[in-house]
Amino acid sequence: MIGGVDIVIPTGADRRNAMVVSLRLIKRIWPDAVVEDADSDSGDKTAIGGGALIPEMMTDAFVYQNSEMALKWDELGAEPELADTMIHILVRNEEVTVVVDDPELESAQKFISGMRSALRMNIFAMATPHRGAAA
Amino acid sequence: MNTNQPNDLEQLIRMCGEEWVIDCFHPKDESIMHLRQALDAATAEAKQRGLALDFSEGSLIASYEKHSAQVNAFLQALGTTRNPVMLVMVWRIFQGYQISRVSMQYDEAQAVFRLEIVLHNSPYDTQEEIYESTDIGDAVLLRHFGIMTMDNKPIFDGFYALKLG
Repeated sequence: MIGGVDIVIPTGADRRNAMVVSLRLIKRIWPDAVVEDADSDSGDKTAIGGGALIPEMMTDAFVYQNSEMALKWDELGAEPELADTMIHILVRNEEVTVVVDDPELESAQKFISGMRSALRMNIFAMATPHRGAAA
Repeated sequence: MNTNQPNDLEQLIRMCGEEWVIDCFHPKDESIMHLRQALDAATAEAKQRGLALDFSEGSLIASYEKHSAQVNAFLQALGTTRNPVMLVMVWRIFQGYQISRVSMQYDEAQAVFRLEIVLHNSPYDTQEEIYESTDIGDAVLLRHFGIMTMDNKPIFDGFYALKLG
């Protein structure tokens, strides 16, 4: 993040679902994305998907375009050459903050529009009557 | 030991607040047995597809610790369908698979219902996974799909627990 722009998106989703939605959408734009828990000192990066369930416990996550870019971030830090290779996601009560380098970029606009649409899904806001399967 | 961890399937269901999965059975005291059978069938279905998925009680409980929202959604699916094919489909979505296509055919006069859900893993992976059902009850699962647009394109993505009223 080279001096990013915060975009706050309201949502009815709880924190865990909000993180899952966010990571799933980033994976659509960056299929090889890896995620790091920003609240952890471990520096561990995890692929999104790839046989494991989508991580949902994090509330503050750095998502890198791929593992190669993640390594460069570790080596170089916030250098201009790494612009638009990382998205910072912060999940709070009833809102998600997305930090991107340039919200005017096509990839960022695509992601942010997807986030706005996904985070206001009815499934997170409306109670639904249910039916169970017969025994 | 984490005292917030459930010890068995029934505790897991109750901790997720999905008691209806048990209570909607008749007779109720056979519910857990039927649910375990459905989980065994899902493990067998995955194996038949060459997928190393484990739907055992222990595996679900282990997943619950770090993935409670997704396990909760899975339990709602388990309460809705006994179709092992659909249960495997749901889990693959949790693993990051994307929904490529959904086809539903319904013809009352012909007494036909057919649901086909096709998943893929990533744009690099051309291999699709096809999940089919002829049980109209499985149409309920579509309510759990995330529905959104991205770049003005319609998208089904993700499988989420409903807020049941």
